[in-house]
Amino acid sequence: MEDILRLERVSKVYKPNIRALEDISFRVAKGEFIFITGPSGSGKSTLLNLIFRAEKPTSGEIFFEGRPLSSFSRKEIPYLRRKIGFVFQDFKLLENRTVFENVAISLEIQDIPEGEIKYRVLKILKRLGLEGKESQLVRQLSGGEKQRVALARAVINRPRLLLADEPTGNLDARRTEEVMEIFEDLNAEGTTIILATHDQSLFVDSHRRVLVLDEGRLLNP
Amino acid sequence: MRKLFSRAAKEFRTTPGTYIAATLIIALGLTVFSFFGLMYFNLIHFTEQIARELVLNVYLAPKTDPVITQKLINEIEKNQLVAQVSFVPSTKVLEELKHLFEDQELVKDIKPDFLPPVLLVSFKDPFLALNKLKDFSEYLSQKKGVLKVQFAQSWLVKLANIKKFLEIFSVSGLFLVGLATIFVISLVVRLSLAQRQKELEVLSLVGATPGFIQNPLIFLSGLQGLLASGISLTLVYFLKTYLDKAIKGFFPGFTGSLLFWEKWQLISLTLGVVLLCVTASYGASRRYLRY
Repeated sequence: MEDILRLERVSKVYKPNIRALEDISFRVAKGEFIFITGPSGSGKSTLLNLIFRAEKPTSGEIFFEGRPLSSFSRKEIPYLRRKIGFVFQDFKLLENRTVFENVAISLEIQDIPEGEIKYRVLKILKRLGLEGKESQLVRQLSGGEKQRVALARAVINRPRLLLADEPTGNLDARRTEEVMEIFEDLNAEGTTIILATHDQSLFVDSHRRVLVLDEGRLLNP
Repeated sequence: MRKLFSRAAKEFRTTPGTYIAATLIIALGLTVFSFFGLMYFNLIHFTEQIARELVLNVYLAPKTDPVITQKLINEIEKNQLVAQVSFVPSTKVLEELKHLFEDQELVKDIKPDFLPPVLLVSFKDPFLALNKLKDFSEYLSQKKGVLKVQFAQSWLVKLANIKKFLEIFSVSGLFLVGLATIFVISLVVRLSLAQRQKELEVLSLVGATPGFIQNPLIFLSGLQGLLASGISLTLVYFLKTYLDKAIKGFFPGFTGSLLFWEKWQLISLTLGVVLLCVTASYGASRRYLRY
């Protein structure tokens, strides 16, 4: 199957000399659902940030749909990010805005007509169990609800690749199961998913590929 | 353009208090700058005005032939430094004397014919003419019909020094006030955007283009600059009008009203502030974008 993502000998070193990632190479096929796991500080978040082009690798190259990320200009990066959804570990939601506004933001930036925005936002909120919460301020939501708002914002754009950084970190067992079902559904619809987690129970019984990171190195390339 | 207006309006509605406060702070900083600038400018102008009052007095012999007087006037007027030559006849001189003396007994026996008529010579720029005045007065004193030439050289020198001092003081003072104003404006714009740091970061992470994020912010900052300039210059104009009334008659040389900024100066000042706000907004918002 065709690759959507390819990493070739990617390393990331933070100043003064902190090696966050070292010589990482792997491929992700279109429609695949993979897990990246490892203890805290192993480099999972850094790896996702590099794929999302929120940071640049110190060396090596990342290819998205065959094109090296280093070749994207500053002006092209927003268009790249519209193809990649990201569920951040800290949600990155606007606390003083409503649930609707937080989700709609991904569509508003593309000048999509208001009517269509409303339809799509309400549809995704319903799917994620947030129906009726659209007018509520994000700061009034529970951790689990915030997680689902972040997920709604990430997937409303129908991204080709979805990155999720510890998406179940703040959820109880029941909510975790619900969120994982949503990921499975999205994947079934064709979205490629890379999910970073330290929670082994999420993948232990699954048939998904698991990449293990430890101290910035990939243990099972 | 319609989209830009609507996004800017939405942006304003997010934090109206911050925008209003920032505009008022910018207006205040600008008011201080433009007020002191105007005052320095007026002080220099006032000094020049006083210097112009210190004219060259050319005393003519009583009963000088009007033809000779006119010839002399024409010759003086030919000098490029001269702004105006006024002829004061003996009768007018006597009237002035009567005004000066309270005891009219002292002047009652003076006949106009006894008094010399005077030519009052004023210069376009007395300070520029200062070095040439002595030679010019000596040259005039040798002319036919001229009794004596007088001018207040020592006063003119003193005024020239005062003007020089004021110019140095103005340049350095305005430089400092200008720097402070630039600092205040940039800081206010930056701080008002710092409040939005998270939002700008989120927008850039969900795929908004730099233009989508920055254009409404830059537009609003430009509008802030325009509004602040309007408020500030209106304030300074009212202050100037008040001062005109308050200091009227304080100084003997001061007859008219204080000068206000000319149209081109007002436009330059406004454009400068708008440009400063726009640049500060662009720089600050760019810092918070994650590309």
